[in-house]
Amino acid sequence: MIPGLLGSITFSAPYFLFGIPLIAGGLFWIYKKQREGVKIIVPSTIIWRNLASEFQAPRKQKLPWRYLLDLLICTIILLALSNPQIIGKSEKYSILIDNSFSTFALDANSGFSRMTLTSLIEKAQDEIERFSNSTFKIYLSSPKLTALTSSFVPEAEAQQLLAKIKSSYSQDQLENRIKTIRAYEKDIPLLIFTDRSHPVISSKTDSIKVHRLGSETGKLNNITISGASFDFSSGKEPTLLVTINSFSHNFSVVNLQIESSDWPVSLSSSRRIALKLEPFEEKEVKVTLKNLAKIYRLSLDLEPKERLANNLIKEDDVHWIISARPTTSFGLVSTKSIEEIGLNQVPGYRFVKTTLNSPELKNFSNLIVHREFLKNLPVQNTLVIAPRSKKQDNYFQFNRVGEETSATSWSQNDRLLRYVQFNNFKFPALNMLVPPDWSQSLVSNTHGSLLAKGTLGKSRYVFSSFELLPFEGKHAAELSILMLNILQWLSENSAERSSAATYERVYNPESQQSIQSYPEHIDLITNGSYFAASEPAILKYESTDPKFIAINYFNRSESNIADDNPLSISPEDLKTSLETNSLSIKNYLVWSLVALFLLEAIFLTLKTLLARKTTLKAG
Amino acid sequence: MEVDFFSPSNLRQLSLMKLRAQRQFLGNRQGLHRSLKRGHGIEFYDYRQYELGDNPRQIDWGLYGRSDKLYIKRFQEERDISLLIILDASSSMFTPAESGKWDFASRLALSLAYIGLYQQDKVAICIPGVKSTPLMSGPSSIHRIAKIINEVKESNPKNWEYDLNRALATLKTPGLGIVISDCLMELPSIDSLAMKLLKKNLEASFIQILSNEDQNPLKDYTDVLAIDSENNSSINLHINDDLREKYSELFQEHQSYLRKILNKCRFNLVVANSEDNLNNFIANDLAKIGITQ
Repeated sequence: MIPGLLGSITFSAPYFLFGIPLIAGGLFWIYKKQREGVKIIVPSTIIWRNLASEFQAPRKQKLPWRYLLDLLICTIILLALSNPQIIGKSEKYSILIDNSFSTFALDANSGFSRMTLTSLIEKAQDEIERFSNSTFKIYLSSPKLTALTSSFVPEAEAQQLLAKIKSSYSQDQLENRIKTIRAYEKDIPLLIFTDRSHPVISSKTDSIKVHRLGSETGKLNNITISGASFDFSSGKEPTLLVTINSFSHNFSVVNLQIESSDWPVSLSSSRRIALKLEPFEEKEVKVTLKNLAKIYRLSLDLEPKERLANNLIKEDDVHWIISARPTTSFGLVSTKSIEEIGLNQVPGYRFVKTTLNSPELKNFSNLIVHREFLKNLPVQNTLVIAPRSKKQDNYFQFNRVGEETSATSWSQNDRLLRYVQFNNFKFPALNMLVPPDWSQSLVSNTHGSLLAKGTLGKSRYVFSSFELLPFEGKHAAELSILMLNILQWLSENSAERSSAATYERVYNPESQQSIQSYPEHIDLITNGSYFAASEPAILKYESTDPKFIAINYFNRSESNIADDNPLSISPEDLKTSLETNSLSIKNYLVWSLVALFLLEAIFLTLKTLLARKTTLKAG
Repeated sequence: MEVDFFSPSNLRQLSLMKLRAQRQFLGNRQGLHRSLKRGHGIEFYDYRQYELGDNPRQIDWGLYGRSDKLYIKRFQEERDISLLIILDASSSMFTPAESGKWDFASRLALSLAYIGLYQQDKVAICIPGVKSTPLMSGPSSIHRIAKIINEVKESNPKNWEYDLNRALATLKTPGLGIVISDCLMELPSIDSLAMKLLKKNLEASFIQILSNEDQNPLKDYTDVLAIDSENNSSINLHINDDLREKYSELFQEHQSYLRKILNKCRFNLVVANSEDNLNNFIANDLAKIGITQ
């Protein structure tokens, strides 16, 4: 970034600048001494004085070129050592506004009178006012990195765009956003406005400047409903399980309001439960439901004082849940019946027997290929369980390994292996897996991979070299949990795949805004489309098999405003532009130095030549 | 210096020289200079008619025989003269030390004093700011003068006028005045000195002792803080060829003005280089303008 007009100059090693006055003083002293010359006592200065009156007057006006030249050289050397950065009056600025979920929080600095986002936007507006002659491109961090304009716009337009920004129900992922912006606009200064702290608040030398809206007046607290589910396992009355998280430094009292409705929606208050929460406590509330309604709305109700003290984000206090049993369906390609392999016991999923050649196969979004020879991968989200012994396809090879084997490594943090421990688990006889290049091996032993997952196109695939079925529930806990994780991971992709479909907003008591009006964002990285909800709600999904979807949002890092979540900008992102800057400035300085040295050499040579010529003349 | 000066050969050489006055002075005692007094002497001056009271021995009888009138022969009497040597001992005479200006000047003063004393003149030496002596006579007085000169370090400019006036006051009759100085001082003060000597009716000569440094100064330097040896005033100088040339012009101008001042009073000016041979200078250069013979 070499701006046309110099803005402010900052220095990485400013202590070198202290040398400039010292050098200037030192040089001045040396030159003064030189000009004064050697002290010589002469018999009389009568004649000199007459001379001086003639010769000294013009000399006073004479510029000490040599002194100025040397001073300039020393100054440039010190400037180069202090690593100057020119920032500021760039013609273009990128502005990244963190409009993630946490910006719903009431701003402590404004006396809890407005949202954090409002304060952030005000700060951004103030900031761009300072660069009124520049143009701006405004990015939103959430739900996906979004440029509000395709080109850089003048201040007035930028101000208007800023005024229209709203908080979103999603995570900021600022680190990724910064990387993406830097990749596109490497040499354009980036101003970030966020509620997250930055360990090293950017100096003026950084091409990324973070404006943080922190809590200067005290600690930030929040209470949220982090999840809800139904438990139908008892077989009698279903139980509603509500998880409430306190991200508050204080002891707090909240009321859990449970409202229910059938279709069409007409909420009626059914329960109100008072809860006491310790600081940072996660509490699960079990509510037995005598009459199961279709839709439930769960909300936290706090006294106004309690709210300001402990719950600054009210948007995560609402949670919708549909009581209908899930209808996600899987096609099963297997020689065995659904009952034989225990899939009828899997809660929340519907399984339909099919074959790989069946014309009905396309109706399924999800598939389980159980011990069948598989020549080509189906287009659905598919769980492929190793074919029977001595059978071999593109994904598995016959390599029978003992009767039982143990896993030597597994990705503990992967979602599929959540709650799964393989320490003492012995895998039954199995064929070895040849995972495709695009897949990721999750579990392996000394012979190779045992379990792999991957995404190809818009479909998800899981390959298992060992038998996962029959599903035996708690009798084979590890495998059952793994199976449920796999089914969940595969099936959750189906809604996303259907993002192009129409969603009808069913109920939203607080806003008349329609989900269709929410712009579809284009992800700069993957260029894939995605769906984002504007706020928690119940949506009706119109397709061949109409169904309701509860849209809720909970993200621990966004709701937990009590703990600091510092923003870490990779040194590369700062360094790249920094080095570009400093390098270019250093280049200028080095060239200036070379020019000055040449000038001084010419100056001295000419002086010597002239002196010699005069001497020859005199001779 | 003393040893050299008082060496027999040097003294013999000096004793052969004589101070010469262009004008004739009355004088007090018998000496070697033709004086304004007419009477006994060696050199015939003129005739005068005999008058009663004249010594009959002075009658030129040969002329009486030719003219039948009584005339007496008159002779110019040879008398001594007073010699005032003014020796400048200001700081400039000692600067730079290696220039030898003071050595040359002091030895010249001593030599002239010896010549004067040797030819029976009365000699007074005045070192303004240091000391001034009464008129002394007889060759042995040279030791006293030598002692005074040898003790001189630098003169005190405050006493300059006092000593000078005192020395001039000791002269009862006009005589010779010799000023030995580098004359590197303000021209008005030289003028003032010349006028004082003129008022005293002295036949004065200025011997200007210059060193090479005075004429071609600071030749090995470029930038110099020149400090005046007499008044400590300083001046920054960036020496180059232009400046040297200009200095040379101004120096000549200074000399020219000096000559004008002295010519006005009909005083002589002789310039000596401190590196010259002293005896040659006395014998040749001073003789040329008639100070010595």
